[in-house]
Amino acid sequence: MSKNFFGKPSFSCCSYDIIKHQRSDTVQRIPLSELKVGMVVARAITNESGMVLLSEGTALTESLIVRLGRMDLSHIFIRGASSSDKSKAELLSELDHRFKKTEKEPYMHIIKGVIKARIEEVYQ
Amino acid sequence: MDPKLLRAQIERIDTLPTMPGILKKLLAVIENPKISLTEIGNFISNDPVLTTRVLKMVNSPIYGFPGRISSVQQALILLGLNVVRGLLLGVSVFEVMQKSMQGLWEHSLGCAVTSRILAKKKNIPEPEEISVSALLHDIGKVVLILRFKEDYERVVKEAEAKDILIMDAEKEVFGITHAESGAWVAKKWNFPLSLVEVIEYHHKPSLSKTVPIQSAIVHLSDILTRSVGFGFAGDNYVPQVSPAAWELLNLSDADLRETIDEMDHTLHEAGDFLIGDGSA
Repeated sequence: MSKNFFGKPSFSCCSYDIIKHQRSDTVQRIPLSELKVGMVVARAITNESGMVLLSEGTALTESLIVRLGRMDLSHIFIRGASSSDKSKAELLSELDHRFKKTEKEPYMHIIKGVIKARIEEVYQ
Repeated sequence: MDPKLLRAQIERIDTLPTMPGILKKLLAVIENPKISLTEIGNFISNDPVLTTRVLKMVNSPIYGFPGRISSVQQALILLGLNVVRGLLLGVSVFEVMQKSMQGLWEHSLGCAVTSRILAKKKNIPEPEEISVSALLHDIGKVVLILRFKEDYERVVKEAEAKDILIMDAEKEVFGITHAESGAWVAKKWNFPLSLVEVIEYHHKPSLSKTVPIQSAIVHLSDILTRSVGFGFAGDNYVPQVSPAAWELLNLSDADLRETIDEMDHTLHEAGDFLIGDGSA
């Protein structure tokens, strides 16, 4: 299908960013094509039978990246903050934008309030 | 468009020449009302790709079964025929659509996760059934796009130009929304009435006669998934929650907080699924 109807991925605008900050401040998922020498593996990479091929904490080298490229992987988890991480202000403004049309409707302020509180809590 | 004609065209979606072969084959099996547990088990087991997909899904944090399910037969016994059929359909449809509908796939997964969490909070038996109906709640969008691509492009343009919800633009272009088209195919595919109703009433859950609570749960999951900004269902704004559904579920602030917390954790752990295939 040529036309992207619902193709917009969520990673740019979502609570996924919130989680990232709260649970593992510095882990992000990187597609294989964007791996660079020196990046540190944040989660062990295993094969289908569960055998660890690259353990957590391994720093990537040129040859490791080439070898990873031959595996059936789309992405791996890397330590380090992402440049695309959103600030608290950005997340809050996106939240406002999403609720712009309906926040005055019954109960919507409760939903928005809980999410807002969560963003604030995570960034403390 | 004449609704009868529209319905007939949508119900014959499996005869579309552009329909991917794997979906055609799958629909033929899914549609057969007499199919037995053993037959569907064999059908899936004979296809390594389908087997991997189903097992990956049931063992993912999205379903969160304790212990590992290692065979299709085991999944069928634990989850039942309808849940496995629904999973198979959901996973396969979005697999085919992967590239153009990554956002909708994420939205659907987000709803599946959220519905399971809410179902457990409300002590509803068989939370997996609600979860699978949430996974499929927007199947009508996929069907409309597959069948009437150009018209759907108009829907998207109209929604943007008039700044209205996708659902309302669908009504303008087709005279129906994806809730109807989804319910039509779900009926055609012999899904149980509960699943058909959830799909049909996920915007107006108070109209559901047989499964009002389940419909309310999927409705609220849809709203919550959009509220946290997870996935993309076609709208940039969160639609309003049905007051009747909200009151029926009667969640406390603490319930809501815990639900959002758990959504975050589960969706984070489900990372592999959000990227689609290709991950180990």
